[in-house]
Amino acid sequence: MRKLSVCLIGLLLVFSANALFDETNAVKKITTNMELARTYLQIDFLTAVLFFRDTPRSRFLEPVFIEFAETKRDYYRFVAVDCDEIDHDKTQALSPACREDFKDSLPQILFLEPPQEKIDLETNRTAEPKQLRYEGQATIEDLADFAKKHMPSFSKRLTTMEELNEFLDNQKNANKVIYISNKKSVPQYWKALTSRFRENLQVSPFLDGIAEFSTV
Amino acid sequence: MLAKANKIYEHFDVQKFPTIIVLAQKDGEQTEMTYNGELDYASLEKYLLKNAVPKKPATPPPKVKVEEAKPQASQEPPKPVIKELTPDNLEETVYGTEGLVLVHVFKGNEPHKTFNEVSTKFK
Repeated sequence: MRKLSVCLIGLLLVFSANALFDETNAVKKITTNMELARTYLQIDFLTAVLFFRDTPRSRFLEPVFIEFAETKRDYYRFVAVDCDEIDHDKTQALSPACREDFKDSLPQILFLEPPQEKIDLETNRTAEPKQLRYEGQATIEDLADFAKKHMPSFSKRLTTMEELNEFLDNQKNANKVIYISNKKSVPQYWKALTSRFRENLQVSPFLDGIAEFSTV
Repeated sequence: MLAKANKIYEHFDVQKFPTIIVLAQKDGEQTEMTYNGELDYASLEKYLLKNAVPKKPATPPPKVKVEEAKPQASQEPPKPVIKELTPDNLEETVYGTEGLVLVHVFKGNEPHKTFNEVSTKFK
């Protein structure tokens, strides 16, 4: 009877851990190497990747990660890699984070910073994102600070009127958008929009030109 | 700095900072619009999708040949083509195909069980 109870509690915990990600659409759950590879190659937004296993430490971090995702879903993208499931995928492992010898280091959060250019001109292949390992506290505030610090902008920075005129004259009939401010930096919503509308191979809509101009 | 600000006032109808200007094609002419909505991601995304994203051209025919059409007894979508990828056709197949492309990479003669199941289902 006692054994049965332990089994039931175990099953309940497994179910709870997985169910958390099923209840939110802010986090995409990944269970195969193929999905993980696609995440690396089709990346426009700064993406937070949680590698987890069914362990107490992972279960502690999962709700924090989900809440972080739900509050910042406009600005970043979020994926959760279930390493227990990845273990069953017999294709060659693409990320060392799920490897057996890294088992004790999970959960782990990695941020993928999209490359400025889609194609790596040296190799002539799809450029890979920069990988940034998160080593801060497991709080939404600290995660948000880290993400904000590494959030990329894909708008062309114009600093002189000549550059502005050149931007306007280039491709006269193209669709363009310009953010004009009297500050040196641009806000997060603008950076996120430049990720959303940057020139894309196929998937998202894109504008012909995105620029920011500051009077200071 | 002030001169730069004055010039931008002259160039665009800037009343306040920040200002977002959208230049978009409308009926063959370029129209200049000043965004007056809320300064947040969702509102701006909606506005840009409506006003500044080029309309998609008519869907081009897929570059990868789909098997010859059979008599259209039913309106079922065409089944995917399963073909071997080589370095020469990889780019065209992966990026030149409309819709979802599933690539299965395997070593020797050991294809993944799930892929076998999926490919059998669609054959």
